[in-house]
Amino acid sequence: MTGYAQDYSIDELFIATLARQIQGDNRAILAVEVPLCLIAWLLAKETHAPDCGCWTLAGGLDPKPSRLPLSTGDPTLIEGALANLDLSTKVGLARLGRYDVMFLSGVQIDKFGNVNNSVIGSFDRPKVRLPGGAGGAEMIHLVPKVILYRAKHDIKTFVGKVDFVTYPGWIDTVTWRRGGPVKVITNLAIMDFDEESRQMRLKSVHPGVTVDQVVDNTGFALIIPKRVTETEPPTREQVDLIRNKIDPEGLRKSQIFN
Amino acid sequence: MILKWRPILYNIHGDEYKIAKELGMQQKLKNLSEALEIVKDGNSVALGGVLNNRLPVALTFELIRRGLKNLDIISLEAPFLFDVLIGAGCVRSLDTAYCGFASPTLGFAHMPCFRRAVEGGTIQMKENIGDCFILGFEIGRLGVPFLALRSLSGSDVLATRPEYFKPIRSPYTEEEMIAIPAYNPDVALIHAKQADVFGNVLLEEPGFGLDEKIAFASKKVIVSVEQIVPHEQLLGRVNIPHFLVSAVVEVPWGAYPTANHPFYEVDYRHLEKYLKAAREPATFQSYLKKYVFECPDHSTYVELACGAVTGRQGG
Repeated sequence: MTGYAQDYSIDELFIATLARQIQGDNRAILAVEVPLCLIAWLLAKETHAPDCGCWTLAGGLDPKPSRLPLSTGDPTLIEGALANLDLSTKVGLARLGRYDVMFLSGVQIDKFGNVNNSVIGSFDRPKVRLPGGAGGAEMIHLVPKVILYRAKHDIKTFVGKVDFVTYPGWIDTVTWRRGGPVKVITNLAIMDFDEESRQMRLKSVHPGVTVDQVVDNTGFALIIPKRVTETEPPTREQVDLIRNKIDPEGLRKSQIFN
Repeated sequence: MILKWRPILYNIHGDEYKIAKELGMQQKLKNLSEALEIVKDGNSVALGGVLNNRLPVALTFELIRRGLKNLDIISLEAPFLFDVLIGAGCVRSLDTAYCGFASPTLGFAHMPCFRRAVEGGTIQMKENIGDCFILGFEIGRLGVPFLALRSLSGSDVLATRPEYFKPIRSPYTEEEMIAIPAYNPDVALIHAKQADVFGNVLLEEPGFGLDEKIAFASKKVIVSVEQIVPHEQLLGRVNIPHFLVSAVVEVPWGAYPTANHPFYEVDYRHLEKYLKAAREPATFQSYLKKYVFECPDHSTYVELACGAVTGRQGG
């Protein structure tokens, strides 16, 4: 058995944590896959979940890419695919409940797991116009396990109230959903949601990070349970695979980890 | 990396005029300028492709050269073209689900002209939910006026477009749902793999499959292709039949700087250069002048941008 790595960086821990959210024969949706989520999926497939599947926005079903994509929709995600289903059919599979896990990110996240990827300020005359939500506003309801991730845990991201709800979290205006956000993974910690209040709760802090550090970098009152564990570090095997096989060029470092 | 795609340009042979007559097909092969004559100010224009794949760049640049105004642009995700069109002052409204590159090399940065225009209030942003966008064209091509989804509640996007997202109750289960209408835009611009001179088009768009739906749903369709091939080669493989197509233009590298797999891949270096230029209005205008207005055709643009040999181009 492989032991835990002693020498690893935050991006490697982050990817290993994302990879652990994919289990067994889970089918994952990696809509905006670049690059962290795809690396995590490849890592899960190489280690504990060889039977896991995925679809990406413009790629094939269960691809075997020869290199990492350089943007969403990079044609490498067609290579070695089982099938090239059209996007409408792929989304249909999610509506029918055939997909298990999905990763989503955004610029602001609040305590109910609402995510903003549309505007800072007002919608009509925004201070900052963000790229938009792609299909996330529906997908967040369709997939049982939605994992929110953000490599930058700070009070600008984790806000009391998002300026705009692009992807709805656990709020009353939602009339139907199969799943929703169950975990939030950042460069500091893993959070989940309290079953009663549906508010964000600290689950574990990454090695070397204190609870206070997480609290100070969160713009709302995070629920702090009596027992906060330490996040499982990446294994030596995971670190070796990330560095030497899956992402030798270090594309993972292009996303900001502060 | 860019594949060296050297097209052999097509010459119409005598038999094809005979076939055309027998089958009642018209010759649709045009040059860029002729092909785009049917697009008018104020039209709703759907752009095919997705993100960095098969965007109809040659067709769109010609729209800009023609100086069209007040266009209502509809496209799932075509960040590069949105930005150039908006910067060039052609756009009245933008209906899209995403405008950004989502790339470790280009960043997740927001598109400069797009941001300036939306933040400055000079264009109308109609944010859509990607899944609704796809379904809008799916039902648009089936001739169905609307459909309802149960899985759209909770997002603030709904309230920004009350004329588009309409609450409805299921007549079967009494469930609360949201109705979305079909898309049937005035014109679709699509870049494809091959066509014959009559406008029968072969798409081969693995993994995405939206261009075919866009073509069927739109009132008029203009297609550029990497290659015109003999009619016989496409029999049984046509995705868009000739009677839907107003014009077809042979434009090798017509999606450049985005990819048209397997002919060529994305030119990230040129897109980076574009992003840098677009940061300021003045440098954006220099880009537009150099790469759009001073390029008489698409092959000149590609040769100027990356030095690839693209061959002659119609018109």
